[in-house]
Order: sequence, then structure tokens, then C-alpha cells
Amino acid sequence: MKTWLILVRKEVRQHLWALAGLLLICMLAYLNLVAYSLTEAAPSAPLQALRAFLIVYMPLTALLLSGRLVVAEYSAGTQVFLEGLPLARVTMVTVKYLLGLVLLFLALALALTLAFSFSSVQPDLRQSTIIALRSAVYLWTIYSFFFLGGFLGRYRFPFYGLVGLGFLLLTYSTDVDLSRWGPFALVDNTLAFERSNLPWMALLWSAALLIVLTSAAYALALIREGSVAALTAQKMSYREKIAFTMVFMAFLTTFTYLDERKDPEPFELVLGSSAHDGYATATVLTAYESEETDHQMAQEWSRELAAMQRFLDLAWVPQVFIVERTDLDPDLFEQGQIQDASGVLARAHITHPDFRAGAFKAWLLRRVLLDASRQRLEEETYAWVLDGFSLYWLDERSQIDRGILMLRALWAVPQEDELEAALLGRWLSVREQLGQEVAAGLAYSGLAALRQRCGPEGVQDFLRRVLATPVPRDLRALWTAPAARPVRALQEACGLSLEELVQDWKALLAENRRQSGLLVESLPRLEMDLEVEAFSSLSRGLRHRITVTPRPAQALLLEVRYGRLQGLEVRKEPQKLHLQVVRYPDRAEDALPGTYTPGERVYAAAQLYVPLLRCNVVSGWRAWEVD
Amino acid sequence: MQSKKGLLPSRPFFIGPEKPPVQNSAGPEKPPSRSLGLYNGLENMAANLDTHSDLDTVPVVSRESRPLLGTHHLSKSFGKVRAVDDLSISVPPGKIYGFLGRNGAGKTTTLRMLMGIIRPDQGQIELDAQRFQRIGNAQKRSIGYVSQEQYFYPWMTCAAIGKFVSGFYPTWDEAEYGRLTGLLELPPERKISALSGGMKVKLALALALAHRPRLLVLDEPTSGLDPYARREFLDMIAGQARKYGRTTLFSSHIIEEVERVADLVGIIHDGRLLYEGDLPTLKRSVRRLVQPPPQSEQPWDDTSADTMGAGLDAPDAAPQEEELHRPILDDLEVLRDTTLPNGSREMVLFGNPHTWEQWRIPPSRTEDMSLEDIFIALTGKRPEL
Repeated sequence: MKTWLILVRKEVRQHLWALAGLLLICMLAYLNLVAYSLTEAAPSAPLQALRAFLIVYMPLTALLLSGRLVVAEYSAGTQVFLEGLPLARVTMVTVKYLLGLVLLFLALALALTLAFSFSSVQPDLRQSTIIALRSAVYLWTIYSFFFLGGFLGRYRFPFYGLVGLGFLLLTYSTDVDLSRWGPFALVDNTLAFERSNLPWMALLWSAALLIVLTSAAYALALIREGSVAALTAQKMSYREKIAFTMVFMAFLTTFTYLDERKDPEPFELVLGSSAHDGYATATVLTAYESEETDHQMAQEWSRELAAMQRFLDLAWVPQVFIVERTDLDPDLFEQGQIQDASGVLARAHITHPDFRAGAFKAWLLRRVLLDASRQRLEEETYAWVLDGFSLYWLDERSQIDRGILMLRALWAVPQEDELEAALLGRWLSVREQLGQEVAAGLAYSGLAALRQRCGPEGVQDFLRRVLATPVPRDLRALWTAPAARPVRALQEACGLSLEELVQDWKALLAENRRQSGLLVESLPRLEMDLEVEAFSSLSRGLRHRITVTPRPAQALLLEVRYGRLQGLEVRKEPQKLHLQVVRYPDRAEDALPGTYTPGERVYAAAQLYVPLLRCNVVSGWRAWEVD
Repeated sequence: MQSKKGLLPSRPFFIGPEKPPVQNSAGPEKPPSRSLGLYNGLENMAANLDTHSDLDTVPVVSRESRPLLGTHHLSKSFGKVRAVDDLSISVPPGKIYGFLGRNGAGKTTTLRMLMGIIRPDQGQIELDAQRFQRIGNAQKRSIGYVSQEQYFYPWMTCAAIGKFVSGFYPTWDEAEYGRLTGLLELPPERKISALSGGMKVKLALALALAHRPRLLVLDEPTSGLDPYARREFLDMIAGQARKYGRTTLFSSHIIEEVERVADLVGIIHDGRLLYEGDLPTLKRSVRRLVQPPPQSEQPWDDTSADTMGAGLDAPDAAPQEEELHRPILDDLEVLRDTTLPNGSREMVLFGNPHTWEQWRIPPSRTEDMSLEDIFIALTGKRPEL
């Protein structure tokens, strides 16, 4: 132990200035974290900032730390001096490894403390443990990678470059999504939100990877009596520089070539009728026994897509395939999975008398934009703009009644004071509470308020910045995505802050509330609660209790949609849920079908179609944990 | 058996891997057979000469004392290159052992194996009567080591590096380190980056000595030093050995410094030990002979009474020719065989001093050689035979 302390003292003394520099970097990162936490209204902002800290600052710190601890020793040849002392080579390497790791963990601990402290919604012990464990394993893996790189000496930067390019190639040329794998998955979008489940597969992959990387580092340090590490630490020769430049150029060329043909061929829908408008293509196959009808619908859709592409100045829009699915409820739409081909495959019960074309159009346009943005618009920051746009677009095209949209917004916000900027930062929760269509109505009213303030051109500019900024699906997204954030786009397009927009928004809602009189008050609101009924030590039943206010004058048919959440799931698509039709108020309290075990999570809500709103209102989607 | 050019040996006196060592049943104190090469040759010569009852002249290290440090058939290869090949050396306690060899002969590899820095492929290391496959940290604590090149932390001062190194040695003597740095004129607060090459070597020596090791291992410590610093350094080593009885093994390719301080030398070439013994014996074992041209009136191997000269005890004691040259044929190795421009033939022969004493040739025909010439002859290219 004494030997270890001596070596630690030596390392700290030797790299004192470098450590001070790293501390400075960490301080900047902490400042950034704190500043982001204070300026962003969303409760998850500190944890989102923690994610940025982990993705941006920690790899940099690990790189510099391993460079100092390993490369500085071997490039100066001072390991020869240490080898002459009564000191095992493995001890020397282990001290360096552990010292670097401990320093990084200290930096992480401070970042976690700051993130938890500034979070307006304090994560409970379970969530804190999940976040800490995910961050620690991610950091350990990244550090092991750079520690291995340290023993590659002069080859480490080519190594890092080739690994980075390899990742890009893999991401671009195949369907492999590295962001959902191993250490990358540990710091994905769910880091700030996951409260219940550990991503075991990602943790196991990361653990396996860090073991492999650490073993490789030790192997390099110890094989051939450490002579390999000593040799690689020497300066790069002219020939080597030339060779690596050529390899790098070859990679870039390959990357460019693959980049050009990265998009898979469009999906082929045999028997469907296709229509083109510019680069927009739509294919339709319905249950109408008329090809002409399908073709006409395809033409309408291709025109719609082309118009939207022009409006948003999108670089491209995916081909759309609309297929009839008669077993679906008319108010449910489904997106099909397409393997090894591009396009958006939408399924709906088009020929059903209750099929709502407007709702379907709004839903499909949102899917098209999500696909065009490579799902980046699914991020919570953009979600309200995406929801609002789908209805704003229909309004612009005069395909929907503006009054109904405003009514939805008024229903969503019973009092204007409830509307605040922070809501926009947690839009996924808003969606869950209000339901997709009402939330979209509320978002629409925000864009309508913006239109009043900046005019249609201002809104168009804003929408283009948010929805049409091409965001790659690889690491480049790290610096591309922030440029498209609504807050920044709002400032750049209209010179408005989010708070100013919210003020206008409130004023618009208040004005419409005055005009609508008591109409909004008469619209029904739902509440639903689930109660657990113990059948045995391992078996539970669930009972729902639904309340509708104001109490309806006559019996209503409500829908209860419910389903079990699996693994990491935090929500489920409505079409994947079970349906129970409930007659209200006779069966306001009733048992939910099935039995459940303690620990299971059930996702459920009651919903009611409100003709005045032309959409469903929900009691609020929630996940109940069965205890 | 007779050479075309006279009574020169037609085959060398070389007992290497090709020839198994001669067993001597009569030698009661004979150590176990050790490395192959010339050292064994000498040992076998000693066995052959046991009949002369004159063992004290045999060029072998004293067998009564157990070596403090030894190697047993040590081998190490780097890829296809055999850096050290079946090396067996023996360093008696209290002696200074000069480990001589050309660049790339395997000296540094041997010393790094002795320090446990690299693991031998084969063989064992004996330290203080214990054998090891590899020297461990516990053994390294009793060894002071100065490597060939000095890689210190440039940001440390002389005092700071002493404090750093002291943590690894329980026997570290801070006062001794202070005394040594004072003696070697090393300013304690001066940074290592400001030290000259010579001062760094001195610092390495002070660090190696301050924990009072029983054994000091120095790997070409004086390379890069100016003559003054070199002499100062060597005097210090010799002084330490005399004062504390410290066993010292130091490698070098500079004959002069070995000659100056070493009690024993080991000569290594291509990873194999060629000679191990004391310097006077080595000098008496290698001689240069010059054979005049064939038309010369007085050939060097003329055994007539007139030409025997003062080298013989008595003119009438001249032995018969066959008997006279028997030792040459059996016991001498040709190290070099050159025909000079004037037609005379020059040979460098290696053999036991007894052999030379029994071979009655005119002294005017043989020459003693300097240690440097001997070293070059031993480690140079052998004649093709």
C-alpha cells in the first residue's frame, strides 16, 4: 500500500498543472450545467445538462487524463526508471488506471450532486441510483477506451480517428444504431427520465466492453516486458504519418461514397396506386374497390407532401404508403415497420364511416416529419412544435375548423395562468395528460398566437428552423440539434423569447375564452383511478373508478384503454392497448380484465369522444405500479 | 596432424556446443559443468592439468566461496535473435566483476534479467545462495542498479527524487544519500532537467548506493562521461567495494576501465560467455605468434638446439618434436590467423598458461598482448577452419 501511495503522490505532483487544467474544464462544465439548469424551465433540464456533461466533457477529460498518466510516462521513457526500482510493472499500470478512474468518478459525483440539487423535481433514491449507475458505467467504459489508447502511444490519435470514422460508417451504411447500444444507450434520451428500470443489456454490454478494453490496455502494457508500450510511445516517423494520412483519406472517400447512397430503396407496395408531385410520392391501397379512388387519394397526398416540403423547405420527404386495415378502430392509426427500405407505412381503417380524415392527416404528417428528421423531432424539446404544426398546416390549408382547434386549447388550459413556458419543456407529459389531439390543439393555439405577433412568414421561418433543420442521426447531432431548438429558433425568426410568446398565447386564449362563453365549461372532463385488489400474495386485480364532470345528463359509452408496460417502456401506443368499453355512470367502477402480479406496471386511461371538439378527451395517461 | 605450414594446430582448441566437456574423474573439487564456450574450455583444461598438481594457476574463480550472484544457463531471445545464450556467470562476494562485450553482445539484456526487468526464457539466477526464475521485488531491494541511460523525472529535484526512491527501500539511509550527493557535488535543490549527463549518472549512482545494497549492478554507467568524470566514477565504485566489501557487477565495452577496477572479468560475445576469470590469467592465456616466411633461415618451430635459445632450461633437454607439440594440437585455440605482407604468418592463440609454459618455443617468436588486443581477438571474427 505504501508503494501505491508513493506512486499516487508522484502522479499527482507530476501532473499537477494538467490536473488543474482538467479541473478548470470541469468547472466550465459545471457552470454550463448550472446555467442550463437555471435558464431552461423544464424540470428535467439539470439531468439533460448532466447528459451533455457526460457526452461532451467527460470523454474529453478521460482523453486528457489518460494521455497525461500513460503517454507522458512512456514517451519520456521514465517507465525505465520505475522498472529499475522494486516495483512490479502491473502495480505501476494499476495505480495509473485507478487514479484516473477515481478522479473521473469524483468529477462525476460532483456533477451528479449539482444536477440533483438543481432539479426542481427531486429524483427518488431509485431514479438517482439508476442515473448514477448508468453514468458511472458509461464513464468507466469511455475511460477504459482512452486508457487503452494511451498505450498505443503515437498511434492513439489515428486509432481514435479510425474508431470514430468506423462508427460513422457503421451508422450511415447499415441499420445499426450505435446510439442504442452499450455505453451510448446508457446516456441516451431516457437517462433523465427513466425511474424504474435499469437498462440491463446496455449495462452488460458496457461491462463486457470495459473488461475487453481494460484487458487490452494491460496486455499492451505488460506483453514483451512492456517493450511494446515503450515502442509505440516513440515519435511517429515520416512514413507512418504518410501512411495514416492515406488511410484517413481512404476512410473519408469511402464515407463520402456511402453517404451518397445511404438511404435505402423506397418500400414497394404492390397493387397500390402511386402518384408523384415533385419529389413527393404517395402510394395508396384502400378497401375501396376502385383503383381510381386510390389514385385520386394518392394524388392528394403527394400534393400535400409536396406543398409541405415547399412550406418547410425540407431537403426531402419520405415516400408515404397508406394501406387500409379494416380491423383497426376508425380513430386509431398505425405505422407499420419497414425493413431495409425507406418510407412511412400508415395503416388506418379508411373506409369506416367514422374515419376522421383530418385527424389521420395530422397524424400522418407528424409521422412524415419525424421520419424526415430521423426521429430527432421526437425529442421533448421539439414535440410541441411538431404537434402544433400538424394542425397549423391543416388550418393554413383551410382543411380544419379553427374554432374547434381553439376550443381544444381552451379545454386543455382551463385557466390561462396554467399555461407557462415550462409546460413546453415537458410536452410528453402534457400529451399524456391531455391526449394527443387536445395537446396538438393547445400547441396549435401557440402557433396561432405567434402568427398574430409575427405574421405567417414569421411562423413559417420559425417552423423551418425547428422542423426542417437536417439533424444527422450520429454524433454530429450533438452540435446540430441545439441550433434547431425552439427557444433559439423563436429568437432568430421572430425576435421573441419563449416567455413573450407565452404571454401572447395566454392573451389569445383569454380572448377566445371570452368569445366562447360558457361553452368550454360544459365540455366533459374525465378522471380515472385504479385500485389494487389483492387476490393472493402473488395475484392482484385492478378496479377502475371513473368520474365525468359535469355529470352527463344521459348515459355515455366510455373507453378504457390499458396494457402492461414491459421492461423500459414508459408509454404505449394506443393501438397496442386493450380496450374495455364502459357504460357511464352504471359501470363507473368496474374491474379491469386480467390479473396482475406485484411489481407490474399498468398503463391506462379512460377516453371519451366529444363531438364539439371532434376528438377524444382523456383522463390522462398514467402508469400504475401494482403493489 | 601436422599443418602444411608447419607444426601449427590443424583444428582449434575450441570446446563449444560441438564438443562435450571432458569429464575429469580425478578432480575431487571440480564444480558442476557450467556454460559452454571458452570458460568451460578453461575448466576442462584445468581438469586436464590436474595431473600437474598445480590447480592454483587454473583461471577459474575460487570455488570455495559461494557466489553472491550467478546465472545458470540463462537464455533470452527477442524473436529470432538470441540475445543471451546459455550464459552462466559467477560473481563472488566483495569482488568487482567487469562484464565485457561489444555493443549488442547481450550485456544489457543479461543485466536486465538480473534486475528482474525482463524474464529469462530459460535458466535461473542465483542470488545469495537462492535460485530464482525471475528476480522479484524482495530481491531487488538488496540490489543497487544504474541503468545504461538515465530516465529521471525532469521536474524533480535531486532531493525530491531521493525522497521518492526512498519509499521503495526499507534500508534507505537518508544521511548516506545526503553524504553521497554532497560527495558527488549534486545540489539537492537543483532540478534534474538542469543536470548534465554526467551529473545524472552520478545521481543514479547515489540513488543506487543510498539504500546500502549488497550488490551493485551497473550497466555501462560511464558511457557518455568525459575522462575525468569516468575516472572519478570508477574510483568511487572501487572505493565502495573496498570500504564496504560491496559486490559489484558492471558492464562495459571499454577495456581500460575494466582493467582499472575489475577483479574478475566475464567476456560475452553474441550472447555467449567466452571467458570468465581474472585478468592476469587472461593475459597469460592469449599470445601472438609470428612464423617467419618459409624461406627464412630460422623457422619459428625449429627445434634444433641452436635456436631454442634462453627459453629452455638446458639445450640438451629439448624434447622430441611430437611430444613438444602435443599441447598445441590438443589445447590451443586459434583466435586469429593472418598472413602478413612480408609472407610471415601471424597467429593469436588461446590456451591455458600451463600449455604455453610447456611449449618450448623461442620467446622472441611470441608476444604478450594488451587486454584490448585480446578482447578484439576474442570477440572478432574467427578464422574459417
